[in-house]
Amino acid sequence: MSIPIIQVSHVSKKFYLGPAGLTLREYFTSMMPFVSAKERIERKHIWALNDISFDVAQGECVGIVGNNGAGKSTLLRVLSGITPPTQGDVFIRGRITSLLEVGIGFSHELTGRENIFLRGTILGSSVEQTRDKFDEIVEFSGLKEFLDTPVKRYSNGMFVRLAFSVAVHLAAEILLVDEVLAVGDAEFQKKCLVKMHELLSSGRTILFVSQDMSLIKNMCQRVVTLDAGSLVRDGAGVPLNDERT
Amino acid sequence: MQRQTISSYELHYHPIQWWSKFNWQEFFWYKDFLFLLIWRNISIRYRQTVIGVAWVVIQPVVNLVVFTLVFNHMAGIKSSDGLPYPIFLMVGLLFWQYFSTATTFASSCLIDNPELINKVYVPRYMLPLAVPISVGVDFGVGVVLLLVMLLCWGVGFSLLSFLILPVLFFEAMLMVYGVGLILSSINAQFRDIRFVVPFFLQILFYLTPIFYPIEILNNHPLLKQVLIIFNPLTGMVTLARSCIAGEGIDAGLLLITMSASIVIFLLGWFFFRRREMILADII
Repeated sequence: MSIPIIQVSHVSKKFYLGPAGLTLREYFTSMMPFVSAKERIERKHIWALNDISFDVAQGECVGIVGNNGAGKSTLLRVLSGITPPTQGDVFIRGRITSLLEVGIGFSHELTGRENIFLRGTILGSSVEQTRDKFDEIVEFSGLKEFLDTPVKRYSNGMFVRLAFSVAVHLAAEILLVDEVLAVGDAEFQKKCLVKMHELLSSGRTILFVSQDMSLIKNMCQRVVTLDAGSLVRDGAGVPLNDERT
Repeated sequence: MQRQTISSYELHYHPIQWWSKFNWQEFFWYKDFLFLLIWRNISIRYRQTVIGVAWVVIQPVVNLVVFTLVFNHMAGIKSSDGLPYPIFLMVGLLFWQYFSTATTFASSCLIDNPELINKVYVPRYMLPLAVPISVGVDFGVGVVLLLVMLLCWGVGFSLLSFLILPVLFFEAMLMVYGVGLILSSINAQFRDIRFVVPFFLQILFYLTPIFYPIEILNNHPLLKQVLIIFNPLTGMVTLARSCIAGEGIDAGLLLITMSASIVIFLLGWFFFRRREMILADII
């Protein structure tokens, strides 16, 4: 077997509870060199990810399922480089396009047309690449008449269509998708699935988070199940209900 | 469809330390993001305003009139270098407006775009970098205004003065970037910065020779030295004035302002690099 495109080894991520970040007092105590580690205030924390290991080969489509708070989104955020793991290593051998939340990177005062370019560059493509794909993106999103309207006047559904169109057309080698499809209507969902199958057959790798088991079944040969931050199942097919707990 | 070849790119997490090598590959991938960010900053600033870009001209002109009345006519502060007071003031305001506007925007650039920090990965240092570049438009408009004023007042100016302005602008930009890197990353965690910045700027306004000449401090050599060394704006304004008046460049002063901006930039850069990794968790 060739080298996996994504390699996650013993990754853990700790989050502190309570007010975001350290308070000023804790900040200064933690800076003092003569305060030993034990004396420092040990704050309440949870392990959002707990010793997760798995590999993904190129061209695979892996579904990630689990209840709310199981760590799915945190895992994708760690993989896309947004936040570092507290422990463990992540190796990624390819460029990532992530579609983690619908509204991101939209500048609400700008028009749809301008936002397509801005979003394209946020995903790491050049203006030129976006221009090449521009017509396809507009066609796919079906928002031709609204291109010169500021996106603050867009509906939720229009947002998703625009965001998703940009992401799938400018997808790099790895595509991370988090729960975005749920917002679009059935017809658009179908279109997206076709497009994602197309991406897979062109050798892209997709990691896909969803609560929708039929969607997962449709897309992924392999499913990783998370529960309370731990990996509880990694195998082919959708887990049965009694397996999921 | 063609099979996509896998690039040699390999992402591997390791904490970014201040000595970490700068990732040029990533910079080139995202350079268009930087361009669009700059363009967006410029273009949305005056959207949904009635007179739009005219604000860029109105603000300095009104400042100019009011400050000349108050400081020159009422308080009797005289200009230096043989320049008419409005022109003398305009040079000071040119740098001051640039610095204060850019610092204000730069200090909040991370918390204004939290989704660019915690929902997607982009090189974070590009957000505070886009600000001093995009506010450069205001500086450019100011230079044109200054040129018009020089012609109106019939003040002869040497070509040298318009060669020094870009150099001084670059120094100011470097300094704002350094200050912005520090303030924006602290702001992500402690929102106190929002209150500190206007306060700090107000005090700095009086500690910079904008409406008074630096020569006013000739009787207080220590204070003068402190201002020149710790407030690079002092040197920049003084240099710009003497160049426009055709008095040549004080090379020593130029060296001081240049090294000060570089030091501020480096401090900001290393500070930011240390905090960059945890930004998404604390913002």
